[in-house]
Amino acid sequence: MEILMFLIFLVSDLIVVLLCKYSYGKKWEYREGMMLGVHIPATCVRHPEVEKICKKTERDWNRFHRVNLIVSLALCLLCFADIILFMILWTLWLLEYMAGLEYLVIVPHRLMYRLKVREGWTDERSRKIVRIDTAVSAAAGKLALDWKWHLPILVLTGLSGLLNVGAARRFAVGTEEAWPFWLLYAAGVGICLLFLVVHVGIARHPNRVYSENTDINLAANQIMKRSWTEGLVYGSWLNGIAWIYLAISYYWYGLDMSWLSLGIYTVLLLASIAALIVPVALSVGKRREVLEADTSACYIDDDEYWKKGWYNNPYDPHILVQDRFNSMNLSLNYGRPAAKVFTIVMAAVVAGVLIWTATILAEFVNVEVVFSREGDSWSFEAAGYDCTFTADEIRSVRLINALPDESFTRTNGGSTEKYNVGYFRGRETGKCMMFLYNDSSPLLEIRLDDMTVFANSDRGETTKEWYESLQKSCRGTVHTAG
Amino acid sequence: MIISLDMSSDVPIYLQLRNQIVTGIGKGELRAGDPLPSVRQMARDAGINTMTVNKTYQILKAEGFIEIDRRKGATVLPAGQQADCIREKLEADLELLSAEACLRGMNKDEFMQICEEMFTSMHPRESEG
Repeated sequence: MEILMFLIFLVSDLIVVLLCKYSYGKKWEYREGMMLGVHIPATCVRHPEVEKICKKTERDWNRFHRVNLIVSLALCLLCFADIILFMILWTLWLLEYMAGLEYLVIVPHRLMYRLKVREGWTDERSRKIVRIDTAVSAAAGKLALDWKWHLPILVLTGLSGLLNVGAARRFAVGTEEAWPFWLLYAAGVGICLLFLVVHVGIARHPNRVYSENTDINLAANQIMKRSWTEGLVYGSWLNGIAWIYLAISYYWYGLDMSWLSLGIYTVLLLASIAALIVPVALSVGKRREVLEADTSACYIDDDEYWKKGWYNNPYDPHILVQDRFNSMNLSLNYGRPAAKVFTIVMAAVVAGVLIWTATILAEFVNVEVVFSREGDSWSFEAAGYDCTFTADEIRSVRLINALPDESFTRTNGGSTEKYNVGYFRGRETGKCMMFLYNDSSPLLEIRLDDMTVFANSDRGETTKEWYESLQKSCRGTVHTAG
Repeated sequence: MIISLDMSSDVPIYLQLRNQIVTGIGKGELRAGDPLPSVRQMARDAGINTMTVNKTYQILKAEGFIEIDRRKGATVLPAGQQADCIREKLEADLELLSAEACLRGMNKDEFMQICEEMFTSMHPRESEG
């Protein structure tokens, strides 16, 4: 478990840091008429202040990524010590990394823009100019892959929900055990749908004029649109196939599916991420190659709308534009109210998810198994999970020294070295709930009409007291271990 | 051809668009039979209203520079199919330009030289096919 978590986060951190480092490219070099995302005349590239800002940015950028790479990889080692602490620190690191990244993009850009204004390098004439290449616009329909490529996999993924229903019926899976599969189903369909929407957005994205040469404009726009739409189609198909594979395994084996099935599902999901990223990443180099070969480049000085470090152009009706700082990325136009609303909603969703995750994790920091009786009902509670039953539902109660010698799969709950809490499924026992301190013995095995409950206290005497209390009220046979 | 629209200009966008397409056809940057972007695509790429582009295309069609087919969209027409009223329009435009040149102190030879240079740069081309 710890090794799996360690490897997943190690690979994720490597991908995140290296992808961000290289996808933002060398913005301190003069490309497409810009340095640090600011248009400046080619004759001013050697200006002492320009060189000073660029050198400092390059130094800070490389140092920031070196430090963050080391910190993030070192953090992964915490998986072996304390998984909860690791999750909290990793989330904090990710927030720090994102904030630092934005800072290192925005601040040098603003400095360069201020220098440009001070030195009078603005090209007022071209600021309000909009260029259209008629040949590129006329061929717009052929630049991107057809969005209909998404439809078959979207429909198949949608229909695979029937396998969930079938599996729940075949193996009598309860709602609390089935919901993770419904969550994965929703994620599978949601991602396919999201990729379709983004595909349509990219295909409809306005074509840019980079050069007086139509061939250059055609090639640059086609590389961008083709790579994105191809990546989205491949990603959508692999994501759909991953989920459908899992749904078939679920239908075939129920909750007892093998680790291999889950492994294949994970590999397919990772492949879908790679299928999206690789074509887009490759396109950056191809696009640069095309643009660097251009001898008649034309630039529009619209830096005024980027002066804050993000795009804010109320005269541009487009909400989504190509990011100036990362050619792999798209940016929102904050001059449009819809972009502001979208950002606020997304920020609220992310904050909500973070708070929800933190609440769940906090429950697992200090787990305490609470056993209580209210009238005729008994209940166990720990880390947000609870199980209530009446004396009539109890078929047997046993005090055992250890869990039965069989494999248990967690279906909805939490496990660490110290405890197991939530819903599980045993190969022999079937559906069960656990409220267990792993290092504490003995433990209670309470067989109910529809499942088995394993519980104990961190003190053996308390567990024995619970057992005696239950024994008195139990209608069925009572066994004692040993 | 590359069309440049000046959003801060006093000249309406639809007129700038019309003038640049006509100039493009005249200079041979747009050949007879060349497709023009659809109204929606042109509006999307320029960030302007579809009604503006539609107005331009209707004017160009009325003037005989383009034809609009439901399936093929807008295409450039061969030179020589311009409408009969062109002389009247040219005279009106030239009258205004001549007046402006005259008022700014330009002499006739200079004005005629500019006219000749401009006219010489026009090379309307037929379709390659």
